Amino acid sequence: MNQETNMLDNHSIELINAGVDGELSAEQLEELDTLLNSSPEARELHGEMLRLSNFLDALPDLPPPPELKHQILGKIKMPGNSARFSLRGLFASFQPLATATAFAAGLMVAIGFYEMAPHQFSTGDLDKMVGTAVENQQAGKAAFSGRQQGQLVLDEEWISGTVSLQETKGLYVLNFNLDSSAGVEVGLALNEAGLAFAGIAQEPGQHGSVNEEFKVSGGTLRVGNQGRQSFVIFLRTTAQKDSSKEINIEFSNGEKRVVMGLSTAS
Amino acid sequence: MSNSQDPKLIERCKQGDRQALEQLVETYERPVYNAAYRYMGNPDDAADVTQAVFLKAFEHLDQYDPKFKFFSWIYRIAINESINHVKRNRKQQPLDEHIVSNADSPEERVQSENISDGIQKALMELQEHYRVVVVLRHFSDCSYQQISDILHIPEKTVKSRLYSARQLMKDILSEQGLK
Repeated sequence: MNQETNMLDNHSIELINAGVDGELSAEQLEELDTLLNSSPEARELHGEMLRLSNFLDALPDLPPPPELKHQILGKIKMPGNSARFSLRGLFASFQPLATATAFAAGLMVAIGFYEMAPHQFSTGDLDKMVGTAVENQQAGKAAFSGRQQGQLVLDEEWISGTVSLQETKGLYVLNFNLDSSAGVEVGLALNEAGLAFAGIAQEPGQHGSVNEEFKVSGGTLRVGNQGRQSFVIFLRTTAQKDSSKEINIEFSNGEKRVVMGLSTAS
Repeated sequence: MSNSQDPKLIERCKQGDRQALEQLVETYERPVYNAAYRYMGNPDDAADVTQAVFLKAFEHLDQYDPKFKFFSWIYRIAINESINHVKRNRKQQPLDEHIVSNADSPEERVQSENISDGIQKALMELQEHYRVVVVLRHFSDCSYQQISDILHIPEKTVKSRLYSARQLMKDILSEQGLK
């Protein structure tokens, strides 16, 4: 600190610094002007601080590494979406059967061809899983011997397609094959049906991703859909399950709404 | 800096909206990275810290109090992470290496090497509590009030630390022949 600076009182020093930082009111600016006009020490300090401040402010803003944003986004787990992983690993664990890798896109479009060995498949395996169904062109159809429970057909102007329900060993599989012109929200009242969300999978290679647009809250599962999409929702029974409950499924585009039911009764 | 959309984006993030998350990361990635870089003087450390800041912020998003500005909250995390990073690294490498490592920073390729390197070196010679106010004021464009909020110190302390920090920097730069 210069000797001259020491002759300035604290108020003057504070005024000069605040002036350099643009933190003064109009009245204080006038006071600073008066000080600078009357004190060479104040002018010297003001000049030094201003010069340093300009040096600092002139340093360029650095661009972060281009890959940093993707690295960050790739590592952040969203609320209610924490168990994200590919079904590829899960189904690979069903080896040695070819059925393990046979949860194919074809299967998801053609409802009701599951023939997977039930003894190798439990609700625990599917707990809150999220992913893309494994494609196996050779297998053609998947192996999953579930029992067909029922099927809905949608034929509205704004949404069409089918929803089918299958059950195996206490695990329910809802297979959606939808085509909607605009954004549609699919809502499932799980609590009322004595069911809980266990996982979601999407046919590989589709535009958009239902995996990114689902949410479980207050016993209701909501899934966003737009365009042609095939996806499967896995549900497990809860302790409160009544064997004759119905799963109510609501389709809504904000303006129009359709509610349909599928019974879990055998 | 402040973004009026932040409260809505944060609420959407809490609901699991990934687009909202992307927007927040987009908005704050660069300022957080720059604050970390100026505090630590090393681009690789700054990238590591920036990543850690966002992971921590979104992991604890439920603890964010919307009464306060989001940027104050994320800057506070950034400063704490930078301080901790420097402390951890200090055990492994001398400070001189830290300064020398700055010689290859991208900034030097486009700016006057003497001045920018000199200023960064002068910054690195400041004690942490002085350096942090300079970083927030000059590289993050924070006001006295915002620095006070971020660091949880009185505004008066911000002013006095900023003044002392600049005086020290001026002396260091004079010794380097930069004035």
